[in-house]
Amino acid sequence: MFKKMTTQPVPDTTGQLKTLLRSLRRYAESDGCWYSISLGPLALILLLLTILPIIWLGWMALHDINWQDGVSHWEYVGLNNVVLFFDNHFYWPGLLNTFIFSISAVSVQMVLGFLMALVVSRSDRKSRLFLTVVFLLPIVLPPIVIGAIWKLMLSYDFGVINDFLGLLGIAPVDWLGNADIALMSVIAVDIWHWTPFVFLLMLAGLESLPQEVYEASSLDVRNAWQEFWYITLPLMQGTILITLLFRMVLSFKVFDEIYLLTGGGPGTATEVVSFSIYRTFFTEDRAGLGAVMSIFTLLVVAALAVFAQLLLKRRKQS
Amino acid sequence: MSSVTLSNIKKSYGDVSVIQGIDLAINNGEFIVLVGPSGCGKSTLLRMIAGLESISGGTLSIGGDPMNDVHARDRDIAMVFQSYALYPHMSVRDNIAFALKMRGVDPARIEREVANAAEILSLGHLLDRLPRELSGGQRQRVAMGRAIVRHPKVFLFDEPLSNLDAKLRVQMRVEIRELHQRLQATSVFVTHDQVEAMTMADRIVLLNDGVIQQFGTPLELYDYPCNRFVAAFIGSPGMNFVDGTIEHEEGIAALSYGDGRRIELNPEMARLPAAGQAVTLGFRPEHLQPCAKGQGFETLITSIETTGFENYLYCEAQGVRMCALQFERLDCRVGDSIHLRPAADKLHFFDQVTGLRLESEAPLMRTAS
Repeated sequence: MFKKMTTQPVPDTTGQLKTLLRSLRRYAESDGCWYSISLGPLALILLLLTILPIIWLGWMALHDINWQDGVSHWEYVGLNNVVLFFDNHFYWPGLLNTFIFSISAVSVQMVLGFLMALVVSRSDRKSRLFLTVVFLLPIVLPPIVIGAIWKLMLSYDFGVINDFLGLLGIAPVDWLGNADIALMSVIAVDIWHWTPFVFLLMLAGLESLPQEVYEASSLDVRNAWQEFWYITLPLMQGTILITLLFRMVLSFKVFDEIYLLTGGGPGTATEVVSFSIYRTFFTEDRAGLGAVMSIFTLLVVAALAVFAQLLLKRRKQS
Repeated sequence: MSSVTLSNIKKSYGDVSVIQGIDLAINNGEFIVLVGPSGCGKSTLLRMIAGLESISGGTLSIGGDPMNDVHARDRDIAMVFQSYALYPHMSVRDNIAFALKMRGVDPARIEREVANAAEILSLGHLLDRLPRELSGGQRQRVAMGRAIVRHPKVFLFDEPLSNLDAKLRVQMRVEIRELHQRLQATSVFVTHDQVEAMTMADRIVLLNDGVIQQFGTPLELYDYPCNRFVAAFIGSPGMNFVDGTIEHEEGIAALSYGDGRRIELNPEMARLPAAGQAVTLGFRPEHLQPCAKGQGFETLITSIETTGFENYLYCEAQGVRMCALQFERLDCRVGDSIHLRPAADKLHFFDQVTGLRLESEAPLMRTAS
């Protein structure tokens, strides 16, 4: 039977190559290509520096890690470290202390920092420079210096604060050794240390408020309080929320002040989560348990950040 | 409503004097426009009336009461700002009601006032919006609503139209004027736009370098400018100027300029400058008309602008540039030569050195400084 011959089309390789080159050229000229080239390396570095360590922490949490002769020995223990974490005697009081520390310190810092920024923003040029320098001093001092200064000032035997109380006829107070007031003392030092940070952000926020709105309000309001309550405070809401978020996250990670002033004591009076993690990792050599603590702390801080973000988003929508 | 009186008002920043002793009496219910070039001190003067700038010298009175040491909030004035200065976190309703709320006015009355202002300014459907959701013209109306509800003694406007596009500016100009006719409130309006000044003002205060150049009705300033600065500032395009010397020969008066060219003047003009006097002759573009060869002076057309109903011919004669406004469509092109002649009864003479007007036919004209 005669079969009808069919002609197979000859592949046009030159044409295909041209199409491919054209597509490549189109991609090279597209925004997507430039986004990949410019942001790709950064995304990779970010991945290496943040995501991988967290994955590594997760891996550590499933192991008991021991060091012998300079070599680490990993023994898979499953969720044993998580069980140990829930029974830990330091972490949970530390978590409670951290919450008390963060909420108390940050609340006072927000109020003081805002007030200081209001004072400076309403000052004349000379006072403004002087006040800004004075207000910013604590934040430029290295934490080790702050620890040394306050440890001396709060010393029971020869601290200047007890000397001053002595002049007033008040008995000396063991600021850092008394379990009932040690946390309050550390909070006071943190307020002194970090209020300038709030002050700086608040001042920047106040400076960026539209001047003409204030001029308009100066014709409308009857007193400074009305201006503050109805104009300044609502306009500063965004700055206040962002500063609050910053400070909450930072204060949740407090370590240096505790390490330098009390070492977490007396007992667990000033224990905070960062100090518990430090102790578990480096003093007790229990890296697996330390990893579980770190991951849990990370989740708490992340929850705080997400909560603050939701607040900001809701504010923007409203 | 109140009168506003400024007596020898001065303002200086350190050694720099920006307002140099201004005397001004604004009548009850009058719409005054402060106009002048950038940096002339008009906004500073307005802000001094508002209480947003301190007064370095002199006395400010509103309704007969001295106001120099009275805080802005106690002067009973309302101001509309260039950028509108609306409260960004408040709705239109709250923006308008804010000043009344701060004064503890009864909520029912506030509601009535807001509704009334919203009706006057056609803002009823926008009351629950935030300022960022409004167009420029709508924001402008909200700013005016905020001023209206207070029933102030004086309304102050600081270049409120300068952020609007040309079409909206014309519309708002008319609306503000109509609003003034309705409320009859004493108003002071600052602008750098002489067209706004001419179209809106009962009387214009023309300022330059912190000094009042002329104070009068728009037509007084237009028809009888008291010096060359006023003549050049008021009118668009500006007045044409030709520097020359007055000659009287055989009963014919003329201005001799350039290399001996002459512009014939009407010898019957009142107070024609004396022969030999060096003067600046001024004439407005609409008073410069084409004429037959030999009657006027020959010019070369350098540019033509047509708006449809009017044509501006930019010409040059002996290095002197001038503009002629024609309402008829002329058959001429750039590069053509044309003979032009200024209307003999519409000429202005200014002293070449002082710039002051040489002949005065302005019985109503007032100069305040």
